[in-house]
Amino acid sequence: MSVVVLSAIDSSDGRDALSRVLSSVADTVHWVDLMRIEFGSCLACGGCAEMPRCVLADEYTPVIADLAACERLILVTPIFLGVHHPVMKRAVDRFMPLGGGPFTVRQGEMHHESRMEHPFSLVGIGLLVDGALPEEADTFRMLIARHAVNLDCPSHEAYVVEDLGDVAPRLSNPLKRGGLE
Amino acid sequence: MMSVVLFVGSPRVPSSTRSIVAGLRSRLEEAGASVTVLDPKRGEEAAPAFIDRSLKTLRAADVLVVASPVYLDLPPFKTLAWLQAVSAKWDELAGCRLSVYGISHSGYFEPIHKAVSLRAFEHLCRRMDWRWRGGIAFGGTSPIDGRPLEQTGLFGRRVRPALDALVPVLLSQHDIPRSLAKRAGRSPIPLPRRLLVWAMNRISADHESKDAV
Repeated sequence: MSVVVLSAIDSSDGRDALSRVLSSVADTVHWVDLMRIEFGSCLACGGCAEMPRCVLADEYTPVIADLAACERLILVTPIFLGVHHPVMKRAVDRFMPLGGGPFTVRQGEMHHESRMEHPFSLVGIGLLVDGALPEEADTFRMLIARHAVNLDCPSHEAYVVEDLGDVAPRLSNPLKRGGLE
Repeated sequence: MMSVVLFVGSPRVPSSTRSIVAGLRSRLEEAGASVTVLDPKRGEEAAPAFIDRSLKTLRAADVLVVASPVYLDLPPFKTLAWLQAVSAKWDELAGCRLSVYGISHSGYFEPIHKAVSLRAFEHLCRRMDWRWRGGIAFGGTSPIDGRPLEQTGLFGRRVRPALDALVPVLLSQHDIPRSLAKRAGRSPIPLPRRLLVWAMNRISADHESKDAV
């Protein structure tokens, strides 16, 4: 199993525990520290509607190609207003080349067909940091479910924790049994 | 005089968001409101100088409208980065009791695509102790593409009357009536979904073949 982790966490707290779990169940783990790479925000230029790649060339560009090929994508983000930290959103905005096929109807909604041959399963890990309200956890779960529909993911799971270390044991079993609901 | 701040959350040029904000601005000014548009350039959204200007503007305002496209279920980075930078300075906005409205829009026709985005704006209000007055979700807005709303024909047919109806709501700082949100969220092209998808793919294919020629 190949896993890509996009992390918008500023500290390394809990990262080791999560890495250990992932290393024990995955063949490859590509951990991308979004806080430590230089990458631009989506221009919304529509270039990726014409061809399946981003017009921006920076440190994040090769990651987009990795996403298209991975089996699991794990988004690790502090929760801000119930959704992604802005830096995570900067990365997610650039998922556009992964979609962009013809229009289709999926789960009764209008979407673009995925350009990924085998779309990844999606895991969202949201950290409830200072200032986050308890009800923001529900919004985060809703967001990950919406992403799964939009990106045509075969399965998805959302975890909301106060410490990244807390998620490692909870994540271990679903990953080992090879499926996420 | 009522003071209204309109935030433009789109990074795109040209942009349907700017068309919607321009339409709302002219209606508000015609009704006698003082309107300030905040539209940071790319990279400016969280810059200290722009945030200082934003805080000063918000302190003097009665109403904030966050108008933003939806990319993959959420406002784009530009909007979230600005909201984060502003909310980080919450102590400088102490005592500021803004009434906040959200306008979320995308090319997809269903309001569900905009639901999480509007919830994020609502959470902002809870954090900041501002008054959340509700949101409007427009669909099928991609073809507006920076044009004045009056020139957008079918694709602006839900937007124009919704903005007309929104102005008195903003000026009275009332909640957006459910009936208005529901009307605004209806598809501008009332065709069955599968037929609509077929038609839009045909239009896209025609555009591509013309480009190829």
